[in-house]
Amino acid sequence: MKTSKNQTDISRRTFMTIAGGAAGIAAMAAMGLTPNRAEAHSNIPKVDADKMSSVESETDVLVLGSGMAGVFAAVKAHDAGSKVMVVSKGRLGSSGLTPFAKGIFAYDAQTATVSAKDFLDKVSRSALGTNNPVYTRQLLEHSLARVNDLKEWGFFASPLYNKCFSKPLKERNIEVKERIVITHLFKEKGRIAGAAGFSLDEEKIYFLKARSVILCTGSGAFKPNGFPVCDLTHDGTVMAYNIGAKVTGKEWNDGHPGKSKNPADCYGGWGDMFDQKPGVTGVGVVHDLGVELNYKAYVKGNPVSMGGAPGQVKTDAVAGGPYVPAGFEHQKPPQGEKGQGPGGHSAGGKGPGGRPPKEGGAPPGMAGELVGGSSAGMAIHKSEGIVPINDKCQSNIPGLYAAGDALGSYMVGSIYTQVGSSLAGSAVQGAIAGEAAAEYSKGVDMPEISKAEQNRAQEEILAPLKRTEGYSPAWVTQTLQGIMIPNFVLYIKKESLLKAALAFIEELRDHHLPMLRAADLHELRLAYETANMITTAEMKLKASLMRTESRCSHYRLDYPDMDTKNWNAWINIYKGTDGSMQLEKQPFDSWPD
Amino acid sequence: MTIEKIQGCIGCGICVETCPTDVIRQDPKTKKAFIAYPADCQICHLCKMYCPVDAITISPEKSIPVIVSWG
Amino acid sequence: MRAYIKSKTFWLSLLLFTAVPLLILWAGGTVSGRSSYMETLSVLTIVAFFQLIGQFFQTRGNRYAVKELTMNKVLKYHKCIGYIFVLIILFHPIFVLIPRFTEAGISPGDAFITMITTMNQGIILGLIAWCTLLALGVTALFRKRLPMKYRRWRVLHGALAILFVGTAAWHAVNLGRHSTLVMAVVLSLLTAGGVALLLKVHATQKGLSESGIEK
Repeated sequence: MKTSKNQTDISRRTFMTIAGGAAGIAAMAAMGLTPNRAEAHSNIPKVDADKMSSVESETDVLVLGSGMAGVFAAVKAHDAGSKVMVVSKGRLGSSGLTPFAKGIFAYDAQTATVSAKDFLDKVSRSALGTNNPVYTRQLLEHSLARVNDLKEWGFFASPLYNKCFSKPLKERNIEVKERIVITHLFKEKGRIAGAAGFSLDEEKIYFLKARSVILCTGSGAFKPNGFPVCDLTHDGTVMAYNIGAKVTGKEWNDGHPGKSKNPADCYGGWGDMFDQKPGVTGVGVVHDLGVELNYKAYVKGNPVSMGGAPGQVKTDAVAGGPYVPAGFEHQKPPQGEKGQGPGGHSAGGKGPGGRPPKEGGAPPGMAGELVGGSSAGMAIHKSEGIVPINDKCQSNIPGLYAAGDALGSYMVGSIYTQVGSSLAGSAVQGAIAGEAAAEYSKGVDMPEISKAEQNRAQEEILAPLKRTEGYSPAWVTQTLQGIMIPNFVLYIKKESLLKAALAFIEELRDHHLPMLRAADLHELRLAYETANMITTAEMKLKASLMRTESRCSHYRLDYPDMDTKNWNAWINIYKGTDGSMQLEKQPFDSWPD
Repeated sequence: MTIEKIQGCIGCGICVETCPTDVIRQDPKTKKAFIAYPADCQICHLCKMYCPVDAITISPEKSIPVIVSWG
Repeated sequence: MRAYIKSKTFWLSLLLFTAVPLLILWAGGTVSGRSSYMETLSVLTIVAFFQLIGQFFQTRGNRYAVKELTMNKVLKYHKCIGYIFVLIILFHPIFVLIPRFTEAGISPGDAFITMITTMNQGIILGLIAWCTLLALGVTALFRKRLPMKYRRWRVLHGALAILFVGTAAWHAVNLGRHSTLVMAVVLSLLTAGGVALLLKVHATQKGLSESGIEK
């Protein structure tokens, strides 16, 4: 619908300008040729699936994703002696959530006002035990070194990160392939063997052999309005799940609201955040970004707003709702509740760019009436993703690593506890995963990807292009949003509605996912993203059903209390031998078996 | 409206690479960027910020596509 | 000055080279969406380029103007308008970088490098036009210091002018932010008219000997 409206506008303008017959006909012809993919129509592919060529390449360490984690993984793996290749669906430093995160945490033991032990204790108290202290400690120990690396690359000199991320990669001659959508991981003889995907610009399929693969693919959401996360759809998580990796954290939610006026406007919704140069934040521990506001909206209805003068007691607070541990209540306006950026929360510390946060009221851009669900489908940073089996960001599949938002490290726990830690955590984990993958790669031969596996992947990749009938990814995505985004499904949960939503999602999984169609390479990408969102929705609903308690950013109306007897555990999800989704508990203080 | 228009494009192609959601493409004939998939624009302004000649205009509104019963 | 403002030549050139482009811009509806100072600079650049095209008509080839105002006056305004608008056009690549100073984004230096190294038709034409215009301005300013007779210089001046206006008009149609079909047609017609007038003067060599400027 949108496309046609836009075209009409342009045509009208063209008409006014040319005011001539011949050119007017040309403009009308242009209108008629415009494909409208939201409309139901048969698939007229603009790409000949049978003429797609394939490209093969090999490397020691394959880094998927080019955000904060990806750039550190590549640099550190290279410096540890590996041949590295970076492959990204977007552009270096300009895709995923990295470009919008402006605050980075650095813990300097020399000057810090809080000791490491006190910090770790406080994080665990705020996270109600859900954080993994090994990864929290790692963040403290390594963040300053990573921030210093970034300083050297010129990270703090510009609001845009492509140039500073290019610098260390160019210096090391690391190959970066951009705009390649990786859809498949290969496992051969029980270990990782490489990846496959397609180019957005050329009719080419890539088969990339690698001794080890690091997923720096970020997290994901349901392409919500008002949060710059629409290119992230848990691609890495779902690819890894499909070859047997364990995945965690799907019951948690990022409760970020958006503005009710122009709710799709990410740029405007974040005040001047996107315009700012990044800055180093202070070290603070909070209990934020959960679903409190969603609970308030659920009980009271709209309008909900935040703000008010500093120190003002909220008189319209509602009874019940998510439990906030003692010492973390919002005495001040809940500025951290929306945070300052997807990866850089400046509440309690200095704002990005070293500026003090605005006094009083809501964070920049978040004053006034709010609507929910602007980050729908995303969990708290670093609480969801691949399950690590040790402190080296390693998955249960030998040779497969993950870092940053793609790793379910529980560095902050399942609610925001650390100011400015998201960027820092990605940098720290990227570096650790890079070194670990390089070390692993030295000890193994270059794997082979069997021809049969390659053919199977190629068939799967091209299938949506070959379907003459089917469902458009845009429509399936809208339908999924309609099922998952309502407040009473994803945020304020209860068994009956979770089960109802699951029935719808299973329908999409069984009937619509296999019939997704694509007319061009852009739509082919949308088809994969839609499929990944369906798998994620199933994971989120099943994990939410399984967790029969409320804690941090998971709130069950039918189980409103914390259950420390049964639920001091994370939920891991993996694919069973029959292909079905399996869920298991992993106690908080343990690594997986 | 989202991304509205591209005027005075010099064809450097940076916005095409930069757009996280692949909204912009380069016309191989005119060597200029055009708005290919406006429905996928997330109004993040990265294209505008990376454009060397300030060619891109973006508005904050987005009309949500009409939900239909099959599509 | 007063005589010039009262002259039909002035009013006609004002209509053709200022009012017409402004009218096209207004009707085209392309001037919107950016800050008002950026839109103003855009409009100024377009008007400036039209003034430079108008220069072809502020010459001895325009017999009507010479008759009405005398050659001396025509030449005076030719120089005056020329130097002002040549400067504006020489600076216009910088105008486009202003938002890179005032708004968040890539640095002005990076933007400039990307701009002049993009090997696109419009950019290459623009670079040629810019260098030609610089040569045109410099050879006019220092004409008396150049080791050439006026007659030779006039040929050079005319040749540079044709090279400039041809590449610049093409550049403007190809890259212009406000380039529409009507704008392109009007720009091409005026450019062609100007070039034709100049070629006619050179072909007939008319009026050269009448002029005292040669000495």
